[in-house]
Amino acid sequence: MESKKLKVTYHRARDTLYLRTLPKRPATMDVTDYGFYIRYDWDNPDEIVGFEWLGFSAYINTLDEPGVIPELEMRFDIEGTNLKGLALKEVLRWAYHRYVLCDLTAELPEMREMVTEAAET
Amino acid sequence: MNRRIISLNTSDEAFDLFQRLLTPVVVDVRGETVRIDIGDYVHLMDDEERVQRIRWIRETLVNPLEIRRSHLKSEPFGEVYINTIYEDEGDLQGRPFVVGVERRAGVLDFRTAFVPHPQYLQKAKKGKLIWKAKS
Repeated sequence: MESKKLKVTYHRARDTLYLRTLPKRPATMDVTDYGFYIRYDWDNPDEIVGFEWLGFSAYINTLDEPGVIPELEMRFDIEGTNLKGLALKEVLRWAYHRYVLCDLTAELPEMREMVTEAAET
Repeated sequence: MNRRIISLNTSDEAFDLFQRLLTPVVVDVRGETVRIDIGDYVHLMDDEERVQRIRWIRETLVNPLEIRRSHLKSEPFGEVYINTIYEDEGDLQGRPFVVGVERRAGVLDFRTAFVPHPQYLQKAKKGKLIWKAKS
């Protein structure tokens, strides 16, 4: 499956995580019932081009609850890292470690394994 | 009901407009104060379709079609301003636009603003109607 390159940005003061597929494109927004926003391409309303989570650190513990994030087959390569082929849930776990916990080892291969194991349990 | 015709702004105009039209507060259609600060600009500035709609944010707060309680489980104190805005006289269809705020201790804080996907509007309509424009 093709991976999309993903830019990840965290705005700490607003506790908001921004995920944008690259190249960036204008979008309209939908949301899950739990406040996880999904960006759809402006001209192609079926194509997902990003995500946004307001209150990211407050709600990350709900990540495994049904309906919080959409179930997608998409895979992502995170810009500026060696992380490739991650599922959305893996990206979110990584972002939490990297940006909220400020765990600078989050980009090491071991972190990739940890993220995968956490997702499987 | 009057059509809300509000032109887009350029990206270069956006920050100045944000400061002049939105900060530090906007008094909404109900006479309530919505607090907006410079940090909120960071939320808008990276997305072309948002940064071009600074005027739409103000218009939607002061002249919405309706205000609803947020339908989101994660935002029990959220309120959503819903509008349809036309870019110019020749724009016959208009576009829906949404501004989300949060009520904290009786004060409203800006949370987000965007052009909604059609699915979003269906969900937002599940939220309790708080205010509606007279037709």
